[in-house]
Amino acid sequence: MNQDAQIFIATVVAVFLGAAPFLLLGALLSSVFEIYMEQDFLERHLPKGRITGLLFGVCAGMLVPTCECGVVSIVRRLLKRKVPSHVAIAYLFSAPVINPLVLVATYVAFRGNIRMVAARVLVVAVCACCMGWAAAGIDPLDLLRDGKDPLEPCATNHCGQDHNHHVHASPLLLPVFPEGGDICGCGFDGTTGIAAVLTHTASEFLDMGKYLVLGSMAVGFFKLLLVENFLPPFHNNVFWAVGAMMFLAVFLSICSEADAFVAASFSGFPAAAQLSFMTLGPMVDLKLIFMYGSVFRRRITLLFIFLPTVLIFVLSLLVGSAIR
Amino acid sequence: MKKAGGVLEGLILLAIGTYAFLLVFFGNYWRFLNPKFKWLTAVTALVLIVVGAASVLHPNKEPKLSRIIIFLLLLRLFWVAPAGISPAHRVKAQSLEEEPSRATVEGVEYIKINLAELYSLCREGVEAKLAMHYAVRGMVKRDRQLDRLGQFALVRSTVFCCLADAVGIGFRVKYDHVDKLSDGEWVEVFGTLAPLVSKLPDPAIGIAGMNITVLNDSCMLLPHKVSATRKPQIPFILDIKQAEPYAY
Repeated sequence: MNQDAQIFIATVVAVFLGAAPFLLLGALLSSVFEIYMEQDFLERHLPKGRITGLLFGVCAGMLVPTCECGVVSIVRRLLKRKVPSHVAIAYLFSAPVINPLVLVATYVAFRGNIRMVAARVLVVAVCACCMGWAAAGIDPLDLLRDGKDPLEPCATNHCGQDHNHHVHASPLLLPVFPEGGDICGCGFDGTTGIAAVLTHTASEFLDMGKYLVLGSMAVGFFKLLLVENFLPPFHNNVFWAVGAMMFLAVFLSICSEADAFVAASFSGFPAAAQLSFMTLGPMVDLKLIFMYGSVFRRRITLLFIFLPTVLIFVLSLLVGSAIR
Repeated sequence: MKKAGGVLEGLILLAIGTYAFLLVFFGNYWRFLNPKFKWLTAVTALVLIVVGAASVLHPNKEPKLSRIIIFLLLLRLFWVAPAGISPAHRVKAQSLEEEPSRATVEGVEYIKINLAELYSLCREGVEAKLAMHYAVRGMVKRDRQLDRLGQFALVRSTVFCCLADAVGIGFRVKYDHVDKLSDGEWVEVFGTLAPLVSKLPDPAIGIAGMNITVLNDSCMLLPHKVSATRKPQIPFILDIKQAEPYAY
């Protein structure tokens, strides 16, 4: 096998295995939400106001930490549960960074530079709020590619039952649809309890995982195509440095738990460039582009790619110039 | 037919879980991911095996051909991945940690440290480190621009999480006999640090498979001795310690 093929295969396997735990966690949480949570639980308990909802969405990663591979699956489920768009979208963009694991990793990678940690949080929080604000007022199901109302009877009725299984209360962690039936499109076979969680998790993992596999392959190809060590010419100009690092963040698709260590190794680059690398990657990368495309409508996907890119370019320059 | 598809999806998950489990306990995990994440992959593998088994017992009624094809392709890549779970090529990551933390050469004691750790130390300021003697090892990278300055680059790939984030990290080494070294050769350098007084242009060096290679821009190595050495069984830097004993 030639060296390029070896690099490609090793990269695909590495990216997939590195992201699989988080994808699986996302699928598991999403399934638990689906099986055990009452339909209106989140609607009842989430903050009602737009500002408070945004703040809740931005900070929710501290309660339910995940990385960018797992969060898409969770947000899809939240939107299907009619969680207000601005809360879910703010969570989508902030949770991969504003969570305890990533903040500690950033602190360690930058050898206790608290300003860099604060700058990362600030840029991500502002960007997530802007994205949430842009989505505010839109029906959550309208964001989704297959945005069916889960309260409506299943159109395909493939399980042969006239089911309306999402509306039951869930006392003592009993499944909310004890009579069984298919949750539209997922292939659920009527099992209940733990078995239902596991089969849902399998379906969710495979559904999102296929885009992770495609994204991993894209990363593998990119690794072969990109000129080795193309960065040095860019680091003397802050605008070019930020642009180059953002390009790298998208195409290398590094997990948010590890990207701070890579960013820290670019010690010759301006802080703004390091910051842009750590903030754009968890919001827009090759894996995520495939995943967004699978979950959200095309216009929304395009918005989720371009708006954070522009915001982070500007915010990194502004905030980055204030640190160091 | 749909039931068979559902069972196949379950089997695919079982196969992924089994591969990840074998990779952690019997394979060359370090070729793909940093071994400090072995526990995470092991837990994932076990959960995937359970989820896969549940899916075989309760097959999905709506299997999707597209995801079956894509995951079968992934399993094929697992199968042909270089030295993944081949026992014949297995190298234990722990074997590197059984070495003394200092080396004595011609009566001088050197702190054994890897290039990423030394790079990290230099970010805290170099003054206090100038008096110290360090032993580092890495791959020689030569470049016309460096040759003119009587220097070579000593670099090594560092894997923080997985192969996708691997970065080549290194130092310039001032050396009068650069011509005697060949590109890609592994050497040990015993010497001290010296500050780089002026910003030098970055040489165009790269390591195969690494999109990024960075050289320290605050100091360089002044060697007392440069000696050829064997390429380590695990060439990657997988651990960056903050104090002695370093992960040489």
